[in-house]
Amino acid sequence: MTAPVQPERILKDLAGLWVDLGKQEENGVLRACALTFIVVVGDQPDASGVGETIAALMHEHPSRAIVVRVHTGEEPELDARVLAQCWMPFGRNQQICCEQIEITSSLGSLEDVPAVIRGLIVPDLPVVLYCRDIQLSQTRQFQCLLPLAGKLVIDSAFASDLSPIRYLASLPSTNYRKADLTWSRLTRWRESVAQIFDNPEYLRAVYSMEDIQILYTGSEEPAAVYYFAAWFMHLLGAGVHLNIARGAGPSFSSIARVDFHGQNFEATVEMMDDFSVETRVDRVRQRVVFPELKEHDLLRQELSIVGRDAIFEDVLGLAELMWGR
Amino acid sequence: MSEANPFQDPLRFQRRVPPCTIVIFGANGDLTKRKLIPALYRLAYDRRIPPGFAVIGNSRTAMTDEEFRLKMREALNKFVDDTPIDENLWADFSKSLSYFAGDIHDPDCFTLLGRKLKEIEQNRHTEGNVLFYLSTQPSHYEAAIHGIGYAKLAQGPGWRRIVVEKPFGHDLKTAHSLNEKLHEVFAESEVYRIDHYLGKETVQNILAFRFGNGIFEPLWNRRYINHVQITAAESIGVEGRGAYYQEAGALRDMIQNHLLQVMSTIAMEPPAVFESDVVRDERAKVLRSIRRMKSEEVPLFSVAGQYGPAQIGNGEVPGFRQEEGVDADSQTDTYSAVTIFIDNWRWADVPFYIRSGKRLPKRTTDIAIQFNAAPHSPFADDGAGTAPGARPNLLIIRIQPEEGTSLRFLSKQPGEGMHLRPVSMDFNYGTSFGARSPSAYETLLVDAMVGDATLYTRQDMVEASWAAVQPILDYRSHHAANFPNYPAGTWGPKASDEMLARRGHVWRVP
Repeated sequence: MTAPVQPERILKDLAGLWVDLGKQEENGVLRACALTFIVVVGDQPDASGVGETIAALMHEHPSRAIVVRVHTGEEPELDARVLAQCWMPFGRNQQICCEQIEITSSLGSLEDVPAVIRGLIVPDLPVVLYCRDIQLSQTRQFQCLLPLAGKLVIDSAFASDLSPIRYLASLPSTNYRKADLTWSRLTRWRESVAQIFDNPEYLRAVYSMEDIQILYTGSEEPAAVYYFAAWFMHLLGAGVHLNIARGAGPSFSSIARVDFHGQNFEATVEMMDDFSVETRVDRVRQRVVFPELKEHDLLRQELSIVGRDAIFEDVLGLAELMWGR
Repeated sequence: MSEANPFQDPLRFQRRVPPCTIVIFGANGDLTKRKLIPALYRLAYDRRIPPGFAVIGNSRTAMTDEEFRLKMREALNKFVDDTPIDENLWADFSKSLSYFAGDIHDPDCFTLLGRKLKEIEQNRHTEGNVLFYLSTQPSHYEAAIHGIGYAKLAQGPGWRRIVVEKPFGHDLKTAHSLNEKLHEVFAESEVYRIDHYLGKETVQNILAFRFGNGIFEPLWNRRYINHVQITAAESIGVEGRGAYYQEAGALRDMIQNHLLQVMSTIAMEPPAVFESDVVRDERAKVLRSIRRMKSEEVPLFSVAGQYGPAQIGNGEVPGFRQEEGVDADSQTDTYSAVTIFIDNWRWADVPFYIRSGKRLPKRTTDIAIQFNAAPHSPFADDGAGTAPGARPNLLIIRIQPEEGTSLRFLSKQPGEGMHLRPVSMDFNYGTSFGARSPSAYETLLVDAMVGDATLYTRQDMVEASWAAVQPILDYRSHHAANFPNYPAGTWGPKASDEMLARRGHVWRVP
């Protein structure tokens, strides 16, 4: 039987870790921390990739990362260990390190985890909860982790249906700031659309827009399409006809293309095979780079947003309504 | 007023360039290749350049559009090191580049430019917005401004702005004259005098540090601050720019513009809002409050230096007078240090020591704010810095090469007894925000295109900073110095240390 997992014990282990690290390095190490980042990982095949993601994030968002690895099963099981992630900035002689605490729990023991985490949260800094496993995020046991954090991040892209949108929309906005990495993936699409209408000549066409067509790849309508459509509806109202259809495009992108049609106005933003997007408006074509986005790129975007994201909250509500229709 | 773009999401989107054409005069020069085109390419890579965008390059060299694009591509290969060169992106971006050869002293050159602008406006839907960029030799500025005025290119269907690179004049008189020429053609609100120091992240961060935090501002005055040191040191010499540098010197090239702007950021009053003219008003007030030196005070409040030859490592380093293009009896200051007093309530009698030089031991730019020592130390003086005043608190704001902030304070040494030693609390920009910082030119180019002049200098600021150094320039023009007076690889002439010693201060070793 394993020893009970106590926050004091973990904190003591952390203190010991820092002493050891300091002894190993001639110039000591610099401890960096800007938030408590709780990452909940399920049994998915890439569960080990979380370490790489946290390492990539620590450059910009150094944190005390608490990784909760949840195994299926109701048998009580709870264990913890501490480690540090360090990097040596170019041209410096002192390593920068962030703390990582790994807690292993069975699904049955997940409700015991908040009591442990509560003692491990870094005071006076934001707490962000990220659930990597979309199924797990909707379990009853996961809900007990929500009160620990000020912001919840999920990724609906890997869900088999659109229930994560409904789940996220159902959480009270007054208690949590909410984020979905599917929405983060849409940022550059939305930027490309916005860029067209930076031109006053085209901006005049916005309010006489008649149709917007969003084409997606794959066999099912992805969550991204709903967010995208809801964004247009949020901004332009119900007067614009929104058409969502399956289209051809590279498989790495859930959105293939967006077409705008209005009086004397046509524009298209289309994903190309080479990780670029082409904008076509008024006989002018422009290619921009859309490099592949990694998990840490998306999280970086979300961790940079400290306050409420009012646009996303409005879009989330509309997306849920659209799906329900 | 133009309508706002409803698709904007300021929380997540980066600032974008509006549709426009940039006309670069001096497009075959170093600045275009090293800074402007790399900055514009990076903006394109970050999806911040709109479909309606164009660059027109001009210089006297005959070149086709294709040859110009090829040159700019070579420049990218050479000078862009933190952005991948994407072939498709470049193919697209390069289509927005065009070139025409012409002498800016020839009015026909501007008639041709006018035609090109109209053509581009129609083909690329730039809305008639034009940013003129003077990247030529300063001696050609007036011709370019005159030409733009002659061809009526400063007016058009969209906005028209002009970016002027330093130097803004050679002294107060010529600065004033340049401003008059500019105002014959452009309104002051359309003139963007670029000081790339103000575009640096850390210089901008001074504003965040001072006015975003509540704990520093109460200490930010003569009651708590003993003195301020601003250092801009370069380890290199004039690197083939001897002829240019000989006409400028450290006081004109660095202190009059960059470092006085940095000083004004340190010393300014809190602006009521973060708006271009409000921030610039506060900076201008500081510059106007600089105490003017009397001629007899100049030797006490300023020091000029020039490096001589030296052996550094296992190599011989030439003195300034041995550099190519430099006169054998040159009186140019490759080092300058000044003591400045700001005559206002906040800063009365607090010395601001500013120094800049070439061939100093290392490349570094920082600001050191030294606080007054604790009035009394209850700890015994163990000779290790615990005596009152031995180790005053120091706030260091590092601008380059490693942007960041450090606070030095005393701490008890672990172990027996009460032995204190100075420790440093470090904030490093690169390591706390690992994301790439935009280059100063990326920031400033976007600012000019979106019409935000906060980080640009205004006519009154330029003239006030020239007025501050003019007595030194006048004195030096009448008093030959005994140069060289410091060997390359050292921290400058002895007289500079003496200038601080007179007030009981010493230069910090950065």
